[in-house]
Amino acid sequence: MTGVVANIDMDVPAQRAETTGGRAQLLVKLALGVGFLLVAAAFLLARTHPATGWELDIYASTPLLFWAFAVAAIAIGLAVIIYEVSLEKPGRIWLLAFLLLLLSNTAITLLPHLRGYLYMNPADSTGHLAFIRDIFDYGRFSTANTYPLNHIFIWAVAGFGGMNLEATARVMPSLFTLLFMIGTYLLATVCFARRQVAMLAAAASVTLLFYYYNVMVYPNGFGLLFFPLLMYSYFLSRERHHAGYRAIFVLLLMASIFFHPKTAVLTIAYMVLAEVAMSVASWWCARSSPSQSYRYSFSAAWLVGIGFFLWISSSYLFEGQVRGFWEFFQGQLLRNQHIVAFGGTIESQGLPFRSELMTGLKAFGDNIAYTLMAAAGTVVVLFYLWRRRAEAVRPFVLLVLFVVSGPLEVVMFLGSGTTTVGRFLGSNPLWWATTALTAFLLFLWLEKRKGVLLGRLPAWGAVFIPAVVSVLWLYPSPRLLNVNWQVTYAEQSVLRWEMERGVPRYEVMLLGLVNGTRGLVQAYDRQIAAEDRPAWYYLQALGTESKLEASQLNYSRYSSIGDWDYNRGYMIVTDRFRLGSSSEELKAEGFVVSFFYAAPGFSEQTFERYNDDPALQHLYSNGGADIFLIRRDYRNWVQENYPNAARPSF
Amino acid sequence: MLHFLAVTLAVLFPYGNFRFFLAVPAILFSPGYLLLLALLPRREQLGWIARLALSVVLSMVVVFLLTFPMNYLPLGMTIRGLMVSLSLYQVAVVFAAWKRLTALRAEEVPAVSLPRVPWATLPSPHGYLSLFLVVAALGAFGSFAYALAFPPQGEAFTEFYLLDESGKADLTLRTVTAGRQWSVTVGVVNQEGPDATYRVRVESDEGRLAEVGPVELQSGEVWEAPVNLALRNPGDDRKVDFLLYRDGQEDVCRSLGLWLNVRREEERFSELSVTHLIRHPAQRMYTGYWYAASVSVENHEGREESYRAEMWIMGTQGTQKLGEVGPFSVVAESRYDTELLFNSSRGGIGQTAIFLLFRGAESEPYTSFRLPISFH
Repeated sequence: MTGVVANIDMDVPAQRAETTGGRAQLLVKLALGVGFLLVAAAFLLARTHPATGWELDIYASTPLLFWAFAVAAIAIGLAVIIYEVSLEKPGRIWLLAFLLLLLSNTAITLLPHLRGYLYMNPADSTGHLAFIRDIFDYGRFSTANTYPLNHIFIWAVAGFGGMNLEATARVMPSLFTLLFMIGTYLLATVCFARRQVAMLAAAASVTLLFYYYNVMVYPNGFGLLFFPLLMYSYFLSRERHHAGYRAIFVLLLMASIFFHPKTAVLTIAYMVLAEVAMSVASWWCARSSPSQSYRYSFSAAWLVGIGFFLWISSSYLFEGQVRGFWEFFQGQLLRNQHIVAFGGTIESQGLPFRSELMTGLKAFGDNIAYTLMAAAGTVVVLFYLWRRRAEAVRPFVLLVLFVVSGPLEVVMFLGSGTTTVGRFLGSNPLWWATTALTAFLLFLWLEKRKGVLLGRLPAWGAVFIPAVVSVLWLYPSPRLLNVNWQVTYAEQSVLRWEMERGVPRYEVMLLGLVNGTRGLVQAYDRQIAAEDRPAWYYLQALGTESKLEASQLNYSRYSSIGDWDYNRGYMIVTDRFRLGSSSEELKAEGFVVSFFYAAPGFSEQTFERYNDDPALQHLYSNGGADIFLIRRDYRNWVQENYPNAARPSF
Repeated sequence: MLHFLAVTLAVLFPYGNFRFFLAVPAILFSPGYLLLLALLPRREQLGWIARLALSVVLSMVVVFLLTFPMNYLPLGMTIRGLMVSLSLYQVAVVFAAWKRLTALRAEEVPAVSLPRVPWATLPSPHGYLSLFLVVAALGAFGSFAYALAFPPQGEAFTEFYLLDESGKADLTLRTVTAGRQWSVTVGVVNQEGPDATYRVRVESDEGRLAEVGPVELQSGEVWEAPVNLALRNPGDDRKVDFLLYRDGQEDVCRSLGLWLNVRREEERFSELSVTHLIRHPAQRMYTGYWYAASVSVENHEGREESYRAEMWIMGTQGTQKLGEVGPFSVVAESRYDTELLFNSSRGGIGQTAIFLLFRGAESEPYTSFRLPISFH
């Protein structure tokens, strides 16, 4: 009788008995079964505890059991894989453990979707939705769109599936995270001679190294998560001389051009460096084994380079980017650069160095651990290469890419004018290669301690602890001195109302939101607005919010908002700003967050005072956001400066 | 063929979960999988995990490559256009895959080999645990699929708002005459999910001014109605509260507020306001270019009046007149909106623009208005 069963019990019983004890196998099956039940419970727990509004902290708002179950499932999955690796002949049950890890990470990265969030990240990620909206409305993307692959793909899935755009986009980071995990495993299968390293790479890939890029729509994040698969395809095409592998590789190279300019630039650099590294390592090893000689080719780099140049030169952003890099190489940007803190377009608002350091360790502690382990792995690879061991050639390529990724990111980071550490570290290409090299180090550790429980434990801890760190500080929250980047339906509604009912010539001050969200709403409602402009038009004003200061809005400098010189009509205040700024936790620990999300110097009383300020007409409320129309009052100023004026105005 | 059917059904079927389950594999998996079958048809050429992951990534690339050229065609990118090109693509790729697969022996063809269910070992602990493991894994997949396909609906809320007589959120300047009736439009939108009943009460320091409702609103329904109000006592900065109650509850569901200046009927005055400067999209103003300021004048003089407005700029480099508008006539008890065109020959940051309103032939400004301004 046959049926659908996972890959269990596929080993010959006698072989199993040889590889592991029967009791241990029972325990493995039991543990995996419990792990799957925990993941199932985690999914259902998240689904049955939907968000009822904007939440300051996704960790506190989601049932504690969800986190406990997800982390426990990761612990079980890792334990099973490490146990299997330490056997003489590992079976295939580890694939179920890998599946468990994939499902656990899916539960964690899909959490905003499972809990009914409208979306994550009101700024950049929402701007991408506006770009996709353009494709629906116009059938075209704008010339400002330098990463259409992501947009077209989400558009196609949403359009075919009849799903709404936000729901489709919400799921995409999880999909790419899964592809990264599987890609890391596959990459390790072609880079390392021993299967156990690939198994450990699968285990190590559970750590979410790309910070919020693992859970939000960022084309450059997607591009980074795609690298392991690209490099897997590269090694396949170089190893097996078959047109099919080359065709697949060429298609993936084409994709790298359109993911994001950064992905394309990195791909060009990687293709050159990989060929050079392969040539050098093969030459070095060939001195003892002539079969290792390698015929290098820069075709891939040329292909991506020419394709990328043709594509990017048609964008109107091209000139600005080239100028940025030119200025960087002249040293101008370096002199003006302000690197301040973590996440978004962030300012650390009076934060002590110790707090900033601790926040950095929480956000990137997992990265530091992996980087150290990968660095140790590179030493071993170099040693192997020094001994002219042929199996070190491909790990050496990984090593080179790992080593150069950091400096490459520095050049791109400074050259592009991006000024946040969150972006610099979160979307750093350094991380993708660390996983396989870490796995190699763990393999060496376990290899020498086969069958020793205390030998497995550190290996398990070396992955589990960073994995837990990555989970607990994955989402922006007060734990990272930030606020939740959840976008709510109430926020969407308030912006829609402002656009439909507001006076177009009045300017809008957003507290807790950015123009990215406003641009999306306006892109959605073009017909209502009787305007026919691409989303890019609305997104141009992005960033103007940073001109605000707390003293203008918290009554410390002015007795009324109307006393402040302000040429805008509407003031939109959302729960993000209200609750974030009033958060006792943030006040005590400090703010590492953009002003337009939350700021120190506010309290609940400040926002209550808005209702008693004669300069503010309270015109709209939906429980999650309010609109005030600023009624300017210049009586005092006019009386002071124009005593002869017949009558002050209001 | 199944792929073609799925794509066609996906596009022709109305929105819904059926379409979702048909379309997602059709667009997310099968274009890449079919391509892999055509390029690498032998089982040993690619493991099933690699085949699975590459199928997804190649689907993405195929969909992109089929859609991208449409951007430059007159019809542009459409889902139906993609359906046609995807169908043509799949006919070609299925033909190629079929040609290559038929040349292989059965054992060389990629297939998911289903392992045997260990029924024979069922009475043993191994058998029971294997079954438990299978059931648990299926449970995890089931809960994942359910939560993915049926996420919660999102938060529930009620929208409550105020508009002026023209249906716009334009209640910046609000001066009313004591004892005279004036009107505000009140709006409620039910986004709570179930039907709800609402009641609006308007209050001030003079007591209850009006009450509207109860009004029953279905889910998503919008209700708007004008509310006539009158304040008896004159005074500046008088607040009128608009309170919304839901489903007969005593607690206020939402509250809004309008601040008013209430004038005596015999009081005569004019008001000037500048609501907007039309600037460069980059939010900057440059010397030598023309810009416009939106100027509003309210006439409460009791008679038609003639006005003239001037714009001056004051800064460290002295004072300069930038432009003027008028004379224009404004009928009694009305507002007049106009645009004042201006430019500057001198740059400077942190300067002040002064708008002066002159009434009739008077040489002394009647009133003024100030805005910060910068020319680059």
